[in-house]
Amino acid sequence: MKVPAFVADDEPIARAGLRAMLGAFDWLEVVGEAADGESAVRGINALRPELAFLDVQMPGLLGTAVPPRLEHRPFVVFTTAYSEHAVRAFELGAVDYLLKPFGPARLAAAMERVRGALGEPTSVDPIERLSGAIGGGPITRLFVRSGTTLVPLAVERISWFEADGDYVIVRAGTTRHVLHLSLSHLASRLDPKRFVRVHRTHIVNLDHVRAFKRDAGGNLEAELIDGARVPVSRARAQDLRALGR
Amino acid sequence: MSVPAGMLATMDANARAARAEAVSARTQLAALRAQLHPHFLFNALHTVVQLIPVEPARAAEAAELVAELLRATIEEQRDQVRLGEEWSFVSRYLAIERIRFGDRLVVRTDMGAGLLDEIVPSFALQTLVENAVRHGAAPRVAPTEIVVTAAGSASELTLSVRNEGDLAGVAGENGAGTGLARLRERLTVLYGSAARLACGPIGGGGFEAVLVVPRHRGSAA
Repeated sequence: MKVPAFVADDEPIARAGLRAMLGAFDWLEVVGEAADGESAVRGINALRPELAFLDVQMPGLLGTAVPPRLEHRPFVVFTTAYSEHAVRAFELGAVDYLLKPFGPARLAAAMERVRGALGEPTSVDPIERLSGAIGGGPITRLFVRSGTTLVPLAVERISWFEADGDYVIVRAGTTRHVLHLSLSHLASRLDPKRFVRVHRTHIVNLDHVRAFKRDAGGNLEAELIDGARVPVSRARAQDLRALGR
Repeated sequence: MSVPAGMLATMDANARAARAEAVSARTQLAALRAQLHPHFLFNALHTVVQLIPVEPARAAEAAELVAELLRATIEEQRDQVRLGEEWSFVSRYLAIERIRFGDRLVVRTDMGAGLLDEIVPSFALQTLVENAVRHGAAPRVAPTEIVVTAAGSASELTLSVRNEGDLAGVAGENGAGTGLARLRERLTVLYGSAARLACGPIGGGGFEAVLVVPRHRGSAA
């Protein structure tokens, strides 16, 4: 059975264009469309699609106001020319956020994420959820999965990251999240003044470090406020000293 | 930044010209942002991208319109232009918005004969028309008619932009208020108290912006 999808956009060409591009995905079928927010709520509740594309700037009701009013909750991909709605979109648990203008390539990346959300394996990079939409600069939030929704996690709450194969384990207080990405890629998007890669496999948040000390064997380690101890490699120890100057 | 009309009357022409130059420089970038709102550009480009596979000729046409608007906005150095030039800019803008909004946007125009050589402030009509589209037509589900008229008396030129629906957010949300405020500031600099801009709801639902400037024909400089 094909995945039923719904398209909402107040611009006819944007609707037709998206429908045409979605034709490339044979596992999906567009079952309905709407040209305003209220019609989108009615259409989605009636047709019960598994996936909905919602334009943000629609007459009557903004696209971001649609999900809270739904009885039936599909996975949502927002489409908009406004990058400033991105954070709100992800707080609403959006699978992705397509910044207009977008073409088939960017849509294909979103559809990868949709497959992941639908329970199929995917190579989705959790950082790109935001960076693709917003652009460069250090990230201020990561989006971590909680059930079927994505939850924003402010980076200042994160104590440390640990690489584990193709994944990164995130420690924030008592919680632990797993992201599918490389530690190097993550490091490139973190504020270097706050987050320091102390080891090939570890990044610590300096605001969460109580002290750097030597263990019984003479190796340097970071003692975190939550009590965890993270190894510091010899090479990184020199970088740390440079940071202190 | 309003200056009492009494004070303005005493400003000599040089001071006024100097102030006009300063305002012109300061508003140039703001004008680019306001007349070709970044989101308008992104949405227009999205329209172009969506048209490419299905209607390539129309996609090229839309891209040319966007480029012409962009070029005119970037290159326009004059504070005043002929109404015909201003209207050709506005027409291109409306052509793109009509492609985007389809049947939801209906535009009717009535330009009095022989008025196209009248001198008007650059981007003034554009500000009024863009407000009508963004805050009048865009938030409405029903089709919205926008009526643009130019009429002349012996001494004055009156430009009117009327739209159905109320002008949601004109008081300041989303920059409609700033666009009008900036236009008022420019009018004061260019004409002193001889120009007027009145905006407000009209009977039977709808919104109208009326701009009145002294009649002046010629080559804009």
